[in-house]
Amino acid sequence: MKKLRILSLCLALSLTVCLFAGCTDKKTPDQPEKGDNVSDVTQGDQSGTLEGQDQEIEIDEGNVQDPFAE
Amino acid sequence: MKKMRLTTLLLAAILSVSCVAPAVTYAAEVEDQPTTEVTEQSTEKQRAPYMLYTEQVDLYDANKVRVWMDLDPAKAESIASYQIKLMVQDGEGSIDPSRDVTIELDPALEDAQIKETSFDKDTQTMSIYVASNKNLVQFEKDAKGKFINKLPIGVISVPKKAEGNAFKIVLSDKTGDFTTVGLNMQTNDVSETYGAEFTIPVDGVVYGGPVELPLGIKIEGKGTVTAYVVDSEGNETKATDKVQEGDSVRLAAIPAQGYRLTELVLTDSLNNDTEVALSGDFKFTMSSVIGVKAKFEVVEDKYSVEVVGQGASILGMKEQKAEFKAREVATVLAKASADQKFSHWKNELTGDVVSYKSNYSFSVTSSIKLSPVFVKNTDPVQVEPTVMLNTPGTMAPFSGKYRLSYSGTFSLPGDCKLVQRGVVLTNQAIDESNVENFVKDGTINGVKVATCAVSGTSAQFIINVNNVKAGGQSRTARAFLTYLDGNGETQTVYSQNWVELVTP
Repeated sequence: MKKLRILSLCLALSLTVCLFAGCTDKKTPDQPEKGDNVSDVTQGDQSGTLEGQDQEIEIDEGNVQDPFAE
Repeated sequence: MKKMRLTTLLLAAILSVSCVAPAVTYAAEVEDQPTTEVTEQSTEKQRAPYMLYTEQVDLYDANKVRVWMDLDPAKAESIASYQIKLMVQDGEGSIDPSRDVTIELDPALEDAQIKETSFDKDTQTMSIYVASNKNLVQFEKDAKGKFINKLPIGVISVPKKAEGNAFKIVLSDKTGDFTTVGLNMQTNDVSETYGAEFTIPVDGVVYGGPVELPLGIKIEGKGTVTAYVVDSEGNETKATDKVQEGDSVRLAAIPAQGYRLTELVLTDSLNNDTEVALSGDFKFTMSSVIGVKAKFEVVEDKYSVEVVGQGASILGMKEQKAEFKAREVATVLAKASADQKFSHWKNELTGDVVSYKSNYSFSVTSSIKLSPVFVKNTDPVQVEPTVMLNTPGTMAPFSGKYRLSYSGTFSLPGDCKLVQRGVVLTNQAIDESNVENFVKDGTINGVKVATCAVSGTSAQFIINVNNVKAGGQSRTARAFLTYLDGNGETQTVYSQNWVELVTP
């Protein structure tokens, strides 16, 4: 009887282990590492410094070719 | 005992299943995703004996294409002579008989005894015949380290077209009549060897598309240079450091306070930095790799701002007159007495209304003398559309000629809408007898008056007339303001004064 109980216990344990292994032991394929595809694009500073200017008033400035050029 | 045996058997069975099941699951999942190694092997087994490849030669020239034939390394073919016919088609597979295509044979064929090429414009077919006494096949590795056998052909140049520039290089018919002769003098006509239905694959890449060209800007002195791409309707978007070939570009070069623009030069970096012509409106077409060089120099002259009358002062100044650098900001203050209120600032020299703001800040572009106008508290302030031209204008050397600058200010009541402002310009002498014709679309002494406007809505504006020759060239300007009044009707007003500048 005692041996039967031990065997039954082992049986129950095995069932549990089997179920647990079936649910979790699914190997997923390796995810490819995401590389850094962003390249740093550095743009040079194209504007001159404006020193000593506490305030700026916007002026619209237009350029024209001399219409009376010969 | 029997029960024990049964239980033991069952236990053993369960243990076996728990070990096998996950492995089966894994195997099934893995099979859903075949390995690349399997794919590569199957591709190599089906590899074509020949394939025509093309590539753009120059990053900035989409009309020059290198062509070569890729050979199956497994066949280890040696080729001493070959003939082939290439065809130029547009992006949709049609031919354009107007294109005069040329080819420059690959330098690797330099030592060949016979090198013949001919182009049939009607069929857009380039025939090539090369004969040598050595193996012309080159052995290289591609970017992935794989061995390739390459039969060089050459670089094909297709003339650019303004419209429909797209093209591709294909073979005439299925194989381009590709025929080779090996070092063993054995002739191999590809069609005969592989059958009449055999087709040499071509990469089919379409070339001739718009090219992004770099635009570089260098500045000497203090100021900013901004490039704008202008579309066919005149809409502008700020350009990045690359502009599409053929786009129209406008440069805005703004000096810092105390500086002026003295030079703006464009160079073609792809053609030995030769200078590119830049018109006075600072617009050009992006046709190559362009470098922009702007030079700003210090303006030694200073301008005076003076206010006259009771209640008038200059912010931060003890006196009613002060000196300012070019484009420095000045603020004039008007304080009314108890029984009066402020109406507007008046230009003492021209009589024009300058601003309806009692605390008026502006960028100094010329010497100016202002007086505040007050009205009784009980009287209304009549706000009218107004435009003013600063006097005098300024003139400075610019890129070997002269740059004449006229600056103005405008204001509009709230129920009016700005349409356009700028200056009208003439090279004729103006006096009281003909000033009534000194208007938009006017004519003076038979010479049509030019209209020079600037976009934007800022109260202050400057018109720079560029590339005016030296030698006494006279240009007279008068400010104008076109607006929609409260009834939606178009109106135009002019400054009371005009300014003449004459080049030395």
